[in-house]
Amino acid sequence: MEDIRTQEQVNQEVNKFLSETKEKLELERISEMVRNNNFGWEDNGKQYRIELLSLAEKEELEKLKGKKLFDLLTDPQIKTDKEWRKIYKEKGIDIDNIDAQIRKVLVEIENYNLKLGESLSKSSSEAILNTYKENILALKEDVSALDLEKQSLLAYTLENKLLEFSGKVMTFLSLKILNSDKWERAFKTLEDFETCQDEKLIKQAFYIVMLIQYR
Amino acid sequence: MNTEEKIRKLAKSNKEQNRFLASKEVHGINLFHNSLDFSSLQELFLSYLFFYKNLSEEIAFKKVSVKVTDNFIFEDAYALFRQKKGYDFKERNKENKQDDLRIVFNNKGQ
Repeated sequence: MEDIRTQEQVNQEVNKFLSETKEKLELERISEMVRNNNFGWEDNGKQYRIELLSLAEKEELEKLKGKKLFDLLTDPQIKTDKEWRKIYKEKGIDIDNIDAQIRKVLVEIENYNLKLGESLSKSSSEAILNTYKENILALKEDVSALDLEKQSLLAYTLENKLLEFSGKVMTFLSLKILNSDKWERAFKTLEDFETCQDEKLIKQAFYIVMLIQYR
Repeated sequence: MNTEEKIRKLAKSNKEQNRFLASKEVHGINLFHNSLDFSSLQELFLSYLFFYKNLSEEIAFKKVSVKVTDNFIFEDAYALFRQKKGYDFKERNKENKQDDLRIVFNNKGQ
């Protein structure tokens, strides 16, 4: 007799298959990225790739960062992390307190991790292991929420602006284009890079730079 | 899955663990096309290859059950527990001495 499945069951099986296929493709892609210290792709019929920075490029990066830091420090509109915290405190928002809360939760997470680790070494029951696991997951969500709140409050600090600039310059220096069998810089100047209209190319390049170069 | 989780899952797979072991034993089998200047993604992948190699040894020596590999939370918790408790060198040295004694007594003068 035929096994009659409901539409819901069929949908569940299809979703499961799609999810497994998606995961498999993602793992294959990451496997490709890991095999080499550069990563290439095609965009609008042109070959691009991200390479690790050479020594000369690292020196160029540091030089540009130094210049940017000077510009930021001499701009009275730009405030440091410390100055922003002081301004917020005057408005009744205590970011140092958020840091203290994060540290406290991290200590709790570590304690639960140690208990879970010990329980695993003693082959404790599934119920105990899962209770610890659920507690850890809940606390990690708390930390994420606190961290997100802090990051959004401190989004415009001098330190963050310098970090954003570093990411941008790293991308500009790392992005190469294939020209007559020779890999060369995709953009001649930082200004050319900054005014590029191909947002998809820049976003893709930035994403790969963050994976390959930045930890 | 974020990128780190994908790297982790890849490093944990039988295929990559076998390739990792083979690359250590067999000349010519390489993990990467480049032998220098590793990208940060490659460094992360390497660290997880070692992590899962060590974990599988712990399981093989029955220091922990295979249950630990159910999810990343269990794995990380166990790794932290082992790190904090430290490697018991006295216990390891005692095991080696027992092996040595067995060899001596089983040799029967040969």
